[in-house]
Amino acid sequence: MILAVTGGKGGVGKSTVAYNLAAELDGVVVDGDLAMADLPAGHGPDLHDVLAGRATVHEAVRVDGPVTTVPCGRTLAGARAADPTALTDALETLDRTYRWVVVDSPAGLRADVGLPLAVADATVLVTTPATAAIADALRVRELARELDAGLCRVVLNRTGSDPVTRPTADRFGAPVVTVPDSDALATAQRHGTPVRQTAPDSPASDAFEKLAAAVYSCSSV
Amino acid sequence: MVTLDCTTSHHDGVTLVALSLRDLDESTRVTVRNRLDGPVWPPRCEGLPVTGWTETGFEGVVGPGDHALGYATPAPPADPPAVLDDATPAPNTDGAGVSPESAADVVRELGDPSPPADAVPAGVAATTDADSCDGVTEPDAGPAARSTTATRPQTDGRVPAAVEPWLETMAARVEAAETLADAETLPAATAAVREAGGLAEVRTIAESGATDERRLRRLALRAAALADRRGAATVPVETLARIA
Repeated sequence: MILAVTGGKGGVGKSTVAYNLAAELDGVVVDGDLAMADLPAGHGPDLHDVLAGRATVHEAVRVDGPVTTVPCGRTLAGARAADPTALTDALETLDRTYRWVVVDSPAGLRADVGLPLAVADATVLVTTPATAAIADALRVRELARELDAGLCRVVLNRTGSDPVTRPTADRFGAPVVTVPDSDALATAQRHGTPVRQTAPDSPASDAFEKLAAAVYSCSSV
Repeated sequence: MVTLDCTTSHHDGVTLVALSLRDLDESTRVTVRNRLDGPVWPPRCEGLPVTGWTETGFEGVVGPGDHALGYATPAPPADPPAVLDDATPAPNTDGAGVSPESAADVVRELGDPSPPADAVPAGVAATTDADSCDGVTEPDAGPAARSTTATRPQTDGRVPAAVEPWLETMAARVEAAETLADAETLPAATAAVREAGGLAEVRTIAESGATDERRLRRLALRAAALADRRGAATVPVETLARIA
């Protein structure tokens, strides 16, 4: 199942959600942010090489980290040499091998956001409670709807300890999972580790467990 | 043979009906009728019902393949919630509105996401991708990668976007010059010349040395002077607010 983690606005925590969700689901996370990758990389071919036809997507899969990852190159030259339309094929190829393919989408509303949505079975929208972030997330929801990627959950990221979720759920027409503001989570992400490994009892870790359970329930509909 | 699969779910007094039309061999005009005892609440785009949706259900031409449709209604669920009244092949019409989008369609509609050519620093080929990527994440990857890390600004003291491409170009030239200078054996020299892009390119790098150095030093001086002046000038926001 291909799951697009998207949100419209930059800096709302899409990569953090995608990485930790993939860890919970024991799936593969694909860094789909072709021009501004930020998931842990390493040696060997990456998504730029796959989209430029220099490697197969299976060659770009890294299994040595705490989460199975398809990293993306860091250079603009690499992003320019990549053919974005090849992304849909690459994701579908992974989908045949992995039960869960989680795509970390870039910010914005261009084709690099649309392409994962075109092949995704479900969408997880990430937003913060800020008005600008919610407006952008609503725009992406519209795009996801047009491209037949059903909205599974809205992740309200960086909330306080007792957030009000009802208005957000009403606005998006989908259930909300909240992820509290968390130093443990920020530190884990900076070190390229899922939070369940560094702080398994933290509220953030619980939130991702809940999100993964929700995604399971979406897949069984 | 076209088939219609229906599933319903009921939340807060609203029934959601999910329909999938399967195995369409060609463009087909389909009529799907709601059988639940209530009005059809169709999917909306910009506040208007999506093309093809009426008060009774959906009617329109869909392309070959599988298609998903869905609507809501305040009526309680029943079985079946909707029926396929009609499916007539319509080979000469486009499956407009509900055809599955190809990757090319998505790019056409939303725009090419590749960074513009002007954003890519000159002299940086796509093949250097793996090296520079290792350089950023693995500071101990090797001498070449280390020098890349040293010349490339890190995320926390980020250089403005307008200056970055020029600095990248300078960094690439400095690296090339260093590699050429360090080459002591014949194989190393051959490799360095090849990497620089041939003898003509080596000459250009050699000739531009003095100019590059002068420009970089002038930039450093000017930036340092501006930084000092900026550091010394404190904007008295509170005072200005009081007297305004």
